[in-house]
Amino acid sequence: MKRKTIYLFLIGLALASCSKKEAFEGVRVDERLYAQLAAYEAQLVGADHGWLGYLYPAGGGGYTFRFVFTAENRVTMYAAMNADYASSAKESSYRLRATQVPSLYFDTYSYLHELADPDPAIGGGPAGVGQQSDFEFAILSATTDTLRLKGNLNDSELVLVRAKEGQGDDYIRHAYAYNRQLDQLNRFPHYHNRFSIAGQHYNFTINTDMNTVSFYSGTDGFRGFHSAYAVKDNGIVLRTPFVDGDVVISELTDFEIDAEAHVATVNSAGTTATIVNEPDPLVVDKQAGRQMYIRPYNYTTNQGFTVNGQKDALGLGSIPGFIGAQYVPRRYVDGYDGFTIYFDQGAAAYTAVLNTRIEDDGRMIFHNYIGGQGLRPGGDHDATIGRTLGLLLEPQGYYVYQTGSTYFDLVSVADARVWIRFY
Amino acid sequence: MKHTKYSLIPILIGALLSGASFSCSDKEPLPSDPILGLGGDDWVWSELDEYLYQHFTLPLNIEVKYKWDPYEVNFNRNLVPPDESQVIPVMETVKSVWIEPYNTVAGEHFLREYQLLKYVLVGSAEYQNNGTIILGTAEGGNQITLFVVNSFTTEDSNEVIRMMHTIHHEFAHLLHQKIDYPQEWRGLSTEWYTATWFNTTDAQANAQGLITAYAKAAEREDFVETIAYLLVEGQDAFDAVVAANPSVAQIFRAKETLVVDYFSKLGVDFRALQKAVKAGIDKITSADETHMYH
Repeated sequence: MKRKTIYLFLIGLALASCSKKEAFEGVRVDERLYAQLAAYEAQLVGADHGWLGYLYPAGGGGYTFRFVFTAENRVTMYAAMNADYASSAKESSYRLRATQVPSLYFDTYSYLHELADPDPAIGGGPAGVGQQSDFEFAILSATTDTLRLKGNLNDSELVLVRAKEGQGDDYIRHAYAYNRQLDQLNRFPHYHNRFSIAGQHYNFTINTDMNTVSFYSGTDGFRGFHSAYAVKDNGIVLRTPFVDGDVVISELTDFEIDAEAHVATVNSAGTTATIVNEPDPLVVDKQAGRQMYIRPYNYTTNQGFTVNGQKDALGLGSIPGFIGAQYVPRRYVDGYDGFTIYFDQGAAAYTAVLNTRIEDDGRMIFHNYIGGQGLRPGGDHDATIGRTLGLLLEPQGYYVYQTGSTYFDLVSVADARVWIRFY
Repeated sequence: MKHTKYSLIPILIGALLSGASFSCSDKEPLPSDPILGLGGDDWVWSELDEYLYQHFTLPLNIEVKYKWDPYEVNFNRNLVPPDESQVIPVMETVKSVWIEPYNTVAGEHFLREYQLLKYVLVGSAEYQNNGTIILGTAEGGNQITLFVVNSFTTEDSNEVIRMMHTIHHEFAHLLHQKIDYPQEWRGLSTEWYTATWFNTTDAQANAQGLITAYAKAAEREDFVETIAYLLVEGQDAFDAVVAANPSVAQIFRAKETLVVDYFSKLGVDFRALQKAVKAGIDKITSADETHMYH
């Protein structure tokens, strides 16, 4: 009986095996994938005026590019990274590749790659890491005029926006120049700028070295916000919009800066905001100093103290081969911190060994300067270093404002006309 | 009777099954459409692609990859692709200081027999967690990855020597991966091999009978460093190191002899190869741009 069942089953199997499967109808995965890549390429190539690219490296900051893609896998770019790159184009290659997500590769070196270069002498940042930017990007979403991309290695963000007529080869040069203009806001006498929009007031800071903006408000305790921005030829676009109740700021355009009266106006989506330079802050950030101190990071400044609107007022830049200064918390194993001035193109350095104290009211106070290590530049330059250290060791200390994930401004408690920017 | 009845059933099933297999036979032709993406990445060829094809792929079956491909390199490191303008100077140097000397001395068959399939060019160095940087790697006996292509310049002979040292170093790896280095090499410097070779300076390594600090990394590294040094830095530089370290001179000379013997067993006159490499370096470092590209 049992055997009979098995035979019956086998017969059934034999019959069933003859039933023919229906042929696959539809488009195979590979074909769809290649069609999608071709569509992306056609979209990139098809933009008459190229694309504006807003790149936000994972390491911070924001940079504006203009790309023109050709059907021959070539791309020409301008970059608002420095005056040269903003005004002269560089050609390199690109291709679209089917990786886990269809990706755009900038596959030979160009301006964009400097931000990703692990050599600190080229792109800055720590050795082996650089600015943590990307040059292979997964295409996350695409509409006719906007592509959103994410870096495959470091998760940097790239937004490509179809350029309009008039946003031609000189667009990046204008955008770069515009950003330089905005630096006037950092030449107002006091550090604090009050930003007023729709009845709300904030302290406002713009860091044109690293391209970040920050807003502080104190209406219900301290609240701080900072975002990278990318430059346009008439303003800036924030990576993360600033939202506070009804106030939403995603772009700031048409800055009108009155360098004499120390006021400015700016347009945010049709609403005019005013910026007024003031001696006192609306609010003090009591936590920023501690956050700055506990982070293992070498804080760099390339222009020393700003006093009364004058950058590098103490003249660190006059030391031969001065390339910057660094504040390094816990520089030494016994808990001493270091403030190092690098000169002679980095071949020589003088480090002041000191302690840092952070008060409950948020003040950061440098004290207990026990002496220096390394070489002094000699002559009058020793006096320059002495004056810089004297200001740093100001007994009332500094209020700290955060302008980026690792960027901090220190503002003298005694006099808000004295401040220094670290990043 | 009963027995026969049952034995018929398997025969019946057998017939059914064979019939089924005939009726299922598919008469449709194989698809004639080419498989998508076969042959790898594709792009519009530039003059540079044509140059690489004519000078490396066609004669030697070597692929030169200069466009970024994350799967050719350490995927979790920050690296950058080479600048296009650097590719020809680098590959011309490879041609003059590696390919031509071997072709002249060992015959054109040699590089086809001990074949290298691929050069991968990377713009930056690869930074290691221990603070060292990687300038070149060889993989599986068929691929060399060259780093720091973007800072290469033929105007600086030290830079040419640095890069060509890397290439001859890596190619020597390919050779010993096919024919192992002599047994006699074992024991010459065994006590000095260490994973923390980078804590030694070149001068300290020389005093221990090793030609560079990296030669301390392992026996096989010692072997290929000695070959690369003799070829690229040259005999004079080698002799100078030996003269400066008389207490280990016999170790250096023993290694030199083993290298020369190893190459003669491959059918290569090592002394002639040294001269040809030197001539290649002289040609590259003195060449002006105009005849570089032919």
